[in-house]
Amino acid sequence: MTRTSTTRNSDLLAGFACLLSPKDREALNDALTHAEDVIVFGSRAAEVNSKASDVDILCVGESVRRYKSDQLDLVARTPNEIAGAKWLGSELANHVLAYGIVARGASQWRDDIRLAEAAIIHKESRLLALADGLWTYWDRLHPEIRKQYLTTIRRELQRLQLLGDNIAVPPTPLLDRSWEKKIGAGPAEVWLTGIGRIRTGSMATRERLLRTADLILRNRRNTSPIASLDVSFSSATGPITSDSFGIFGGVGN
Amino acid sequence: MRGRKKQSGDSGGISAILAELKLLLEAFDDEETTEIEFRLAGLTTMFIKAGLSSQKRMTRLKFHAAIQVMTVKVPNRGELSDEMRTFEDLVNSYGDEPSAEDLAEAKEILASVVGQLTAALHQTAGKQLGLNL
Repeated sequence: MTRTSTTRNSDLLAGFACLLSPKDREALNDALTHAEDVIVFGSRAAEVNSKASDVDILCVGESVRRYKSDQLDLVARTPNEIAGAKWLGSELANHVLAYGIVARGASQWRDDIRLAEAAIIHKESRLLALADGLWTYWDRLHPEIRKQYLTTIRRELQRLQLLGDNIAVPPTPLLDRSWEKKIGAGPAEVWLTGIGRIRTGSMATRERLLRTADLILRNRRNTSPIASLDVSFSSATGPITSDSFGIFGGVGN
Repeated sequence: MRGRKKQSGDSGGISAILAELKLLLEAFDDEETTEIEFRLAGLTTMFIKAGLSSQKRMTRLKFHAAIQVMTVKVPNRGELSDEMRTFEDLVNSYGDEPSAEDLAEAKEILASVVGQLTAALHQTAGKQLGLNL
């Protein structure tokens, strides 16, 4: 079901506005004053949110300003940007198409959304940079921040795999549920197969990503994940080979 | 033996933080946004270790949250934290590469925040050492 093609609900915004602080409401009101198209997306649109989830809203207009708080994430795009290839091929545009709810406007640009190869390459670059950064800064990071980054990298790996299969990335709570579900039902390694598809980056960087994936799996099996991360990166990961998960063909060879 | 309560904002920690803030600003032009992200995560850790920000009072271990709960006197702390959150949002490359305009705006914000934090921390370090900085 393409929710954006069937649902138009301006009352939706009023409902979400009730959840916001006065400052956030003011920012939303200001954006709505200038926006031609308004689409709610993310976990609240998909109704998989927690109480703490923010409200994600895409506003298209010439003079809409971005805004971010704990409760509200206003993504602003101009009509020119929204009609451009960069946006139409992006991960976010594809997410909005699959999970967004149109609250205002015709949003005809949605008909032109197609996932572009550039979005996959960007995701690969981001993942490799995250693995590099985590490796480089490991000793300088609070154990809880290490844990946050391992979660970030795991989610990005899931997203990469979905993008590679030309599937719109779902809201984060659905990714997390899918990951958790694998614990009893099958190998979590399945979600990490995206690494095997990565062809960009140096061998050393891909090795770091591989080690990070290994650490994610070890951490998942550990009953005390924070304590297990309070060690140096190399000793946490230990020796690892390119086929540690039995799924990689190219990394390290 | 009873442990001595950690002093809020020890001067050694503050010196290291001041050096890192300077490096962060210098690094902005040359490094990837992910690198900046990790530098900020490292700074957040330094703030906690130095007793400048209480982990317990932070809802998320992000740099803007560390500023929000800083134990030293910082003028316009709320605004500074909001600015930093905007910075974190501008350089976040989760969905796409930040645009040149976003990066220019981010750099301006960073310079402003680093300047204000540096001034506040200099004052704190000076008081601890009995100096009039």
